[in-house]
Amino acid sequence: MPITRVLIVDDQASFRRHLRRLLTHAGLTVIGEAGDVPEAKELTRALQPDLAIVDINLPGESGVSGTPQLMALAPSMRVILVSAYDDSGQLLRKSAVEAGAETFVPKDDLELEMVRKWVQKTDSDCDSNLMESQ
Amino acid sequence: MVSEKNAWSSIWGGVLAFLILVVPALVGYDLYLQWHAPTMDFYLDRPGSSIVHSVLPGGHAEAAGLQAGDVILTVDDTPFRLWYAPEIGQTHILKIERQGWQLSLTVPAVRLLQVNTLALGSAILVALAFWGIGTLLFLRRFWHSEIRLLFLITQTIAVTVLFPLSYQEPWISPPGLLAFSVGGLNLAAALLLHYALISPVKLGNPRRRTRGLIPVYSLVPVLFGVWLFNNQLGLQLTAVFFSLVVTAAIVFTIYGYRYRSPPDDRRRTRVIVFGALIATTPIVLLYVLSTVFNSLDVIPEWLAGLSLIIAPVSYLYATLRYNLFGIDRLINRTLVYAFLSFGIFGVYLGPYLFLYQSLPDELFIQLVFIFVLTLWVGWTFDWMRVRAQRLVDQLFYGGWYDYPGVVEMISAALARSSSREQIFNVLTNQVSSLMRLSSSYLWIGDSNSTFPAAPAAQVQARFRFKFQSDIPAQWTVGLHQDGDDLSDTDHRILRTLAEQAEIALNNAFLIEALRGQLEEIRASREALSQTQHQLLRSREEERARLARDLHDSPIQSLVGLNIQLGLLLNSKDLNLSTGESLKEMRFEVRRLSSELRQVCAELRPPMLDTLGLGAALRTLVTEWSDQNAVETRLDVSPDAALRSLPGEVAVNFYRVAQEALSNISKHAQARHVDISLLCEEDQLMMTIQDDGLGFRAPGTLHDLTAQSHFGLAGMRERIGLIGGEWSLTSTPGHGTIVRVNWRAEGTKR
Repeated sequence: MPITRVLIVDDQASFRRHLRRLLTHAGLTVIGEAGDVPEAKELTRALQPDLAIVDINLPGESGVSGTPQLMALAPSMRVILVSAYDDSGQLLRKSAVEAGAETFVPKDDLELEMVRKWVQKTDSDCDSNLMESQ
Repeated sequence: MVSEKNAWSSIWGGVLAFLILVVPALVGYDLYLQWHAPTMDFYLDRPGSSIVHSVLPGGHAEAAGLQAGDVILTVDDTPFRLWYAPEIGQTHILKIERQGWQLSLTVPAVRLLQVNTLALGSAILVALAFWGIGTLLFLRRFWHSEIRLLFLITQTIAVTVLFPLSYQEPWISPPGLLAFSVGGLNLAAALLLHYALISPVKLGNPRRRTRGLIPVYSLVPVLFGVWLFNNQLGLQLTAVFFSLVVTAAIVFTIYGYRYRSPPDDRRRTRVIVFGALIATTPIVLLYVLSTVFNSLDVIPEWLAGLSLIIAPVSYLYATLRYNLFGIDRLINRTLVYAFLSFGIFGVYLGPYLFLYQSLPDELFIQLVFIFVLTLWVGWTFDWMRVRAQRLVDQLFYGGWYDYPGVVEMISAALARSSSREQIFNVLTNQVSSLMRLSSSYLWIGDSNSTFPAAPAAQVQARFRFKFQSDIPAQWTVGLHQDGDDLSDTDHRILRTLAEQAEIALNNAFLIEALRGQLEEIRASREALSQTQHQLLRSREEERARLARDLHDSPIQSLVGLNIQLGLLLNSKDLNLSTGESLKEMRFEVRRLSSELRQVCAELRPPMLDTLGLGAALRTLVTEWSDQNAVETRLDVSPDAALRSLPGEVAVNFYRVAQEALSNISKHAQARHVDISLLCEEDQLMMTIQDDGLGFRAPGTLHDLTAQSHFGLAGMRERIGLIGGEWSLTSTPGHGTIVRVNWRAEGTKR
């Protein structure tokens, strides 16, 4: 199983700590933490992570508008947007997908099982890609 | 508006001005014809007869032996009635019958002018009298429609009477000239009726007057056409038309004069009205009766001709006597320039003639002489003008200047003044130059303060102007420029001017006070509005801060707690009861964080800062639609365009939408709501339209608050805060439309 290298982008240090623990438990490797979009861009360029968990409500530029910029710096990177707000009208999910993110998850719904799937999904994606190329 | 009217007047006046030339041209033509028309210097006893009535004393016919009572049989062996057009200077042989004897006489043909002097002279006199009066009034006041009409009437009458009066012997009248009289007679009648309808008072309304006059005017060319085809019938119809229309004009004039004129006008127009009646009555009698009963000479023709002069003479008398149309000023100016012309003539020609003899016969020296003379005339011109003006003024008013003119001009200037500077200018500069005063000074203070002392000897008149209980201004007037004391007339005029100046000054003070109060009100309204804006802005900021604090601290803690509980629940060494209570705890944590999020969202819609106004509005509308079960249609520009809006604009648009939707759910009972948010270049437009009950929309912001529409007033304030426009259209039974408009430049600071 390959290592999934994760970048966390959130302005709240406590949330970053909790998320790091959750991700680590799920078997992912957190390689960096950023507080806003410019910082995240620097780290993305330098570290080329596999996955970025990005908060929508960032100071300054929001996560939604930051996503395409990050993905431009690391084309193979997947982005998952999170927010403390839940999404009654599916609007956040829709705009997250429009911005290029894989999905949107309310912070309350972050579960170990779900996070584990992110790792698996990476593998299955790779598998399917391989199969397609064959 | 005014200038357009003036332009129209001057064009119309210019066109009419050409008509001034018509009468002199026809008089010249008449002279030309009579100069070249050959005739013999005897008179027949009536047109068409061949009996000699009289011979011109001292003329050729008398010399040849022709006598009154002779019957002319043939001329050059041609029957007299068929004979026409001898040549001037050539002699002709007249065969006549006298007391049973037949005689042959040799008589030379002479110019008609020589025989017809009396008739021609009176005709030209009458025509030029009409022409002159009309032209004089027209040049003075051509912008009065009444004067223009009067001008047309006088010119038409002059044309009409010229030829019939100047050819008393129709047997020698060149053919075709009657056309002027027939056309002129009809046109003059129509114009007279027109004039009677608008003067001395306007009868009926413009539309009714037009409707009545159109058939009358259109009959004029018709009758002329009839005359062209059948002279006799045309003349009779003309007579009937003329008498009917003139009778109508007289009836209207008497009616207007008797029942509709104010007494003052009646006094002034009496002379004109009765002059016109006296002048027209004999003509009507003469022409109508003689034409209808076929040449029944009731009144001698010379009387008709003379009576015609009564009309312009009476008009002239009334104009001079009652100074209609400010005629005295015109005459004053005319006299001044007449004197001036004489003066120049004397100054220029006198020395020239005097020195001409002694000048050497050399062109250069003569040119230099003329040049010097011209310079001298130029140098003395102003001096002469002042002297001439003074002379005429003394003749006219027995004083030094044009008194009525001064009062008129100063009154007009004061009426136009609305500030103390303007009044100061009028009283100090204009009055002193018009009345030729050595000093005239207006001192305006603030209250009952002492006025600056002026040397008593130089102050001839002093006026103090009251305003409410104060005496804030004083006007002092000195001697005449030439050192004369002010006369009684001067004092009287100054008193009149002072009264008007006091009123003007009072008005100016009142306007100043009002303007100050308005300024204060405007400033306080501005301040109030600023405060309101500040209040709105800080409330919005406060809410955003609260929401951010809630989001950053308690919600994040609960999120962290939730993750930790999740991790705990997944650990393997966990007994059942602990697991259950952990699950309960986690449920509680999630409920709490959900509630807090709702509070946050109400304080500050989170979408505004992340996804922009479009997304926020979409969420708002979807939720509102679900809650109120009202069908909504939302038309929003792509989010990308809306995301770059300034935060203040976005939040206030959002709040307006929120307020409008809340109003709809509270009052409108709508079934359908249309919302659109369009972003075009630098402009943002939002429309919220419902099909509900609607209401009577109040007019102004003041009305909004007065009628307790605080929500509406709030919307308006919010949009005012970001420099946009807000409008509300509502009709009872037809729903309500709220429109908001904002432009990017408006908020650039």
